Amino acid sequence: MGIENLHKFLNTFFNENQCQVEQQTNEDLTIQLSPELDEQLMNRPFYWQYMKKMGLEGEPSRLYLTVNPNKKDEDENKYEFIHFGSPRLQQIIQILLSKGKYVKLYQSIITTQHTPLIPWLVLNIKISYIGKDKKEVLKSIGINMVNGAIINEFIHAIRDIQWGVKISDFCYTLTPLIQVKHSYQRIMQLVEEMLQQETHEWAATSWGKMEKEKNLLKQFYQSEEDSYQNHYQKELEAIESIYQPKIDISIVNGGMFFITQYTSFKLLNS
Amino acid sequence: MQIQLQRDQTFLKDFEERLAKDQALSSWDLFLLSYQAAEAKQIKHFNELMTPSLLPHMTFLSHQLDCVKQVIEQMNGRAILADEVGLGKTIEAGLLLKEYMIRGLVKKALILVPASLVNQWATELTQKFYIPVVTSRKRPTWDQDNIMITSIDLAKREPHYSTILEQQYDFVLVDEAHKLKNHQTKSHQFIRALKKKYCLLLTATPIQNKLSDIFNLVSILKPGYLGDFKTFSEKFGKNNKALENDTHLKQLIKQVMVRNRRTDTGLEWTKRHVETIWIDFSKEEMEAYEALKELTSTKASFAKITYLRELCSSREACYLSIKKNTEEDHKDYQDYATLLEMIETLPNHAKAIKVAELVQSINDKCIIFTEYRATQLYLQWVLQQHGITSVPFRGGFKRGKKDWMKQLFEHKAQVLIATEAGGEGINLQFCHHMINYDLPWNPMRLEQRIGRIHRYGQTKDVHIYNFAIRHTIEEHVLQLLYNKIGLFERIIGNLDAILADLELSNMDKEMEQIFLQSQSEGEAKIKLDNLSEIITNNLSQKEQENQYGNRESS
Repeated sequence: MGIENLHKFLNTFFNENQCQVEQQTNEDLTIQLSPELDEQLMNRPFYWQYMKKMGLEGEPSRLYLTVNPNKKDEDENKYEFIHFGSPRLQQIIQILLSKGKYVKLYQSIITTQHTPLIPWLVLNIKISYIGKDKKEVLKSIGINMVNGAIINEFIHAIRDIQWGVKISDFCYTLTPLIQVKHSYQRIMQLVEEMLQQETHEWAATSWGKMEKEKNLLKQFYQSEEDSYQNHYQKELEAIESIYQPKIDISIVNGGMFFITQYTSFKLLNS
Repeated sequence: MQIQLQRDQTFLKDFEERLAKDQALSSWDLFLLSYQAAEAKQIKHFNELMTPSLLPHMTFLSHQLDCVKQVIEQMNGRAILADEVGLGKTIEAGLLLKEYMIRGLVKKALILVPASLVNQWATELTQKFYIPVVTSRKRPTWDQDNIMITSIDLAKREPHYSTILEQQYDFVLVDEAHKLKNHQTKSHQFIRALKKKYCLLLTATPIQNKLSDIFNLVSILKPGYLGDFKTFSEKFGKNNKALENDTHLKQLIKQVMVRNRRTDTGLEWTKRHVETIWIDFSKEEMEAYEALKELTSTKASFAKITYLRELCSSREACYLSIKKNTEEDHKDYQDYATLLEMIETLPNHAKAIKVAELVQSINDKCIIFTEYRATQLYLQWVLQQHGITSVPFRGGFKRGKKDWMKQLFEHKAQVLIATEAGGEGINLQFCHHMINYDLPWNPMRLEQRIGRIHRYGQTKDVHIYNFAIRHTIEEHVLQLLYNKIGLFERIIGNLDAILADLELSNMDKEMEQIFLQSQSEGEAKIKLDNLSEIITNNLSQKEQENQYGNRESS
C-alpha cells in the first residue's frame, strides 16, 4: 500500500483535519489551515500564545504545496516542494501517527431489518528487528471478539468496506465474549509464537560480532596500563548498544471494528 | 544467544481509556492514512540505503554511496573517513547520520568541528540533508536529544566538559580528527571518555608522521583492534614504511578506514592556470616606498613591515595605518609627516590600474582578494570609475549579509572583493577567475582562498592571477616562498598538517620575524630560502606517505 499518490494523500489529510483545500491542480495544493493544524505545522507558538491570552481568534495561514520540484511561479517561492524526504511531510506523518492511532468504527449499511454487528479487535503492528542492522515488518491482525477467530492482513481486506463512526440504523452490537484486554493478549501471543518460529540469522550474526568485539576489548584492557582502565565499562556498553540483538513490538494503530455477520464470514473465508 | 524482546507498553491502556470515555477516536480515513504513513516510513530491508531516495535534490557520487554502505554494513558505524581533500567527506558523514536517523538508530548526536566551520556544517546538514541541528551558542544545552554541533575546544572546557561526559550519545563525529593522533592530549582523552555508540573520525591525513598516529585513532573506535600500544610500537615504532610492507596490518586497517583517492573516483579536477603579474611602481610611488623603507629602518616595531606591505597594496591602507599608529605619539607623527604628505599626492596605485585593466579583459566573474579593508574600499571605487560592478565581502559580515553578497555576486555584479577574513566558508564554484591582489604570508590562507573556487563541483579550469610589485617586499615573498614551494600548482590537502608539524602554523609571524631580524635584504632572502627548502622537503615526504596510505583503500 504505502503512499502511492502523495497528492491524494495530502488532500485526504487536510480534508480530514478540517482544512479547506482552496485550490488544486494535478501538482499543487493551496490549503487554508485550521487553527489546530496551523499550530502544529507552522511553528509560531508565540503568535498563538498571544492570541489565546488576548482572547482573540487567530488567523490561520495558508499553505502552498507542490509535488513538482521545478515549480516556478510569479510570487517567488510561494509554493513549497513537498516530497517523501521533506521535513514538511515528516511533520505531517508525525501528526498522522498520533491522530489516527485509535478507532471504533461501524460498518455502514442500509437496512430495515435488525442487524447484529460482531466486534473485532484490529491491531496494526510494527515488528523491528534491531541488531547491527535494522529491519521492520508490518502486520495487521484482527480477532473476532465473540468466537476468537483470527485473520491476518486485516486492514488490506477491509479497505473497500464503508465505515462510519456512528452505528447505522437498525443495527446493534453484540457484546464481546473476549474482552479487549484478552483479545489484545491473544494477538500478541500469536505474534510472539510467530517470532519464535523464525530462525533469526540476523541476530546470530550480530551476536557473534558482539562476542568477538568484547573479546578484543578484554584482551586490550588486560594488557593496557591503568590509565585506560576506566573506559572498559563504557566501551563494553557501547559494543552492546551496537550489536545486542533486540526485537521491538509496537502498535502503529488499532481499534474496534463492528462488522456484519455476513461480512465477517466473507473475511474469514477469503 | 539472547534476543531482547520489547513489547508495546502504552497502546492497550490508552485505548481502553478512550473507549471508556468514547472520545478522541479517529475516523476511518485518518486511520488508513496513518497506516499508509507507517508503511511509507517502514525500513523494509536490513541493507539498503533509504536516504538517497528521500533527498531528490542531491546527486551523490558512487564512491560516496559505497563508502556509506561500507561503513554501515561492514564497519557498523565506527570508522575513519579518510578521503582525500575535496571528495566530499562531509557529504558522506551527512548521509551516514541521516541514514541512522531515518532508521531510528540515532536521536542524540555530537558533532565536533573546528570553531570556524561550525556554521558551515550546520548549513550543510540542514540544507542538504534536512537534519535539524543545534549549534552551541552562549548557553548550550547538552542534556537534550538533539544534533549538536560545537567545537572541540569549547566542549573540553568546563562546565561543558563534565556535562557532556554524562551524556549518552548515539553518534559522535570528529572533523579534522588527526588532531587526536596523540593519545596524551586532552582532546584524545576527551573523545575516548565520551559515551558513544556510532563514531566517525574525519581526516584527510590519517597518518601524519608515525604509525602510532593511526593506532591512536583506531583505539578510539575499537580499542584492542590493533593490539596494545606497547607491542604495536615495539613492532612498528616510527617505521613509516611498515604499513606498506605488512599485509596483515594493511588488511586490519582496511576494516576500519575508508580512503578514496581522487584518481580512484575518476573525478578529474579541472586545471589551475597560474599567472604572475609583475607590476612596476610609478616613479613617485617608488620614491615613497624607498622613503618609507629608509624612515622605518631605524624603528624596531614590526609595524614597519606592515607599512611596506600596505603601501604595496594601496596608498589608503598605508596612510590610515600610519595615521592611526602615530596619533598618540606626537613626536613619532613628526617623523612621518613629510612621508604622509608624499603619500597624499601619489597618483592612482599602479596595481589598482592594472586590476581594472585585467578585469575588463577577463570579461567574466572574478574574485579579488586583498588583505586590507582600506584597499577593498579603494578598489571598489577604482572599479566603479571603470564601469565595473563589484560587491564587498568580509568575514565580519553577518550570515545573512554574506549570503546576500554572494547572491548579488552570482546574479548582478562582475566582481567580488573579499578581505582575508572572507576566505573561509563560502563556495563560489560559479566563478573561475581569482586575483590575489596582495598575497597573504601564510600559505594556508592562500590555499583557502583558492579553495573557494577550485573545489569539487568546479566544472571549468580556474585562472589565478598573482599580483606582485617588482623590487619590493612582495617580490621576495612571491619568488622565494610561493613559487619555490610550487604552491599554486599543486592541490595540497595536508599543508596544514605539515605546517603544524614544523610548528609553523603561524607562518606570517615567522616571516615577519625574518624581515625584522635580518640586517640586510640579502640575509632575509637566505632565511626565506631556507624556510621554503624545509617546507618543500616535508611536502615531498608527505606525498610519498600519501602514496602508501592510499594503497590501504579498496
